[in-house]
Amino acid sequence: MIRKENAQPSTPDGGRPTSDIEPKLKVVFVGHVDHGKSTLIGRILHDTDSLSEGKIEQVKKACAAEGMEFEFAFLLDALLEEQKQNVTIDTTEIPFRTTRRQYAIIDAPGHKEFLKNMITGASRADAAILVISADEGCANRADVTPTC
Amino acid sequence: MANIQRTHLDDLENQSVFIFREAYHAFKNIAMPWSMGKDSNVLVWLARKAFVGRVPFPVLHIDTTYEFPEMLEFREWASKHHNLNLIVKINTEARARGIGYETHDPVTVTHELKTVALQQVLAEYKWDALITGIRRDEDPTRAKERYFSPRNAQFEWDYKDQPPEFWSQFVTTAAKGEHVRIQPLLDWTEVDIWRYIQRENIPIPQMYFARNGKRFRSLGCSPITHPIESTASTIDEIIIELEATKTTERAGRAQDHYERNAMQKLRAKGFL
Repeated sequence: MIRKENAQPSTPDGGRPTSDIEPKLKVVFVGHVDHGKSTLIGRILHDTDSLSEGKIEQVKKACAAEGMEFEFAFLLDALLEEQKQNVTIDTTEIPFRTTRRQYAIIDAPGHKEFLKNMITGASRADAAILVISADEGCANRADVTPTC
Repeated sequence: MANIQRTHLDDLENQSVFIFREAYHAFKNIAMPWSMGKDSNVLVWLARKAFVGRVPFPVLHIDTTYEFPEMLEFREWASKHHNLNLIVKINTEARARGIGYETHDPVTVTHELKTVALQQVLAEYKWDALITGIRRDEDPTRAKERYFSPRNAQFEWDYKDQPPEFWSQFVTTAAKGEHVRIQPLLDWTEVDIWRYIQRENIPIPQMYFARNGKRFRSLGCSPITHPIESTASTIDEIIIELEATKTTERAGRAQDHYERNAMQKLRAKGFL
């Protein structure tokens, strides 16, 4: 997991991070539907201070329109249909950076119906994080995804 | 042994050149929209790299008639400088009907003067592919795009059922009347663009650099594009500013913020 002290954005006096020249690491988040992939990513972006002001405002407005509490997943689930059904339809890629290096986080849908979109995201990735809900344990997507 | 390190910018450049060449190989009739903005000029630069110095297809400017005069000056200069085959398109029919920012909302005007204008010129030239300069980090719906992204004859983006795109296997055919958007800059970020402009010394309009405490971070139609407070007058200063900022790149573009999911609605109907 990302340690907070490494996760500060660089500052003008902090000099340029070495990540400028280092190739970007692409990490895909996969797992069963509703196990919290988009939520985990939203949380990482928030805790590493990677979100712009406008972005959080936009998400707050969308949540209010859907009558929901603040939902981190809406940072990635930007399509109206995704927000209304609270499900990731298509894969999204969001750049983010620590002082050590730059990353792209790829969020991939967990729903069986959107398998092709999951693989589209996963095929671009250098590394993967498999998310499994502690409550539900291994569900069918968790069995399938590692073999893809 | 020489210390040669492949950098992040090299990776991006290589990928973009690869996408350009795949597109040129797959499609007979290509055009490249060019807004004269920073990303557009990087696109022209990469196209010249991909095809050994010349851009082998027409470059299209959708002129909304609300262009900043400085941008039009740049257009004239840069199209000669890069030896571009420039096509300029205005939706004169909509302007004659009185569509304009003085009387209509920015989403309607953007749709009429940009998207409908693009439909008209595409029908005229029968292009089957358009090369765009959109980037994932600009907007959350652009973040869901494919490198090769099909549009139907009505120009619609079927974002609920996009084609798979596995390991650089792209959609390289378009049925009659349909077209494919090819997006070589999808993986680039705003800072990547600036670092590349600096590294390659790519000409861009001066409006991006601060004058009297303001600069444009993103450029569009003059009535609905607002500068930001900034003292950044060099690329180095712009990069430092961007690394510290918490504001989004397109915050000064009114059409994006007119209503919830404004960009999704615009883009579903064919906006870039």
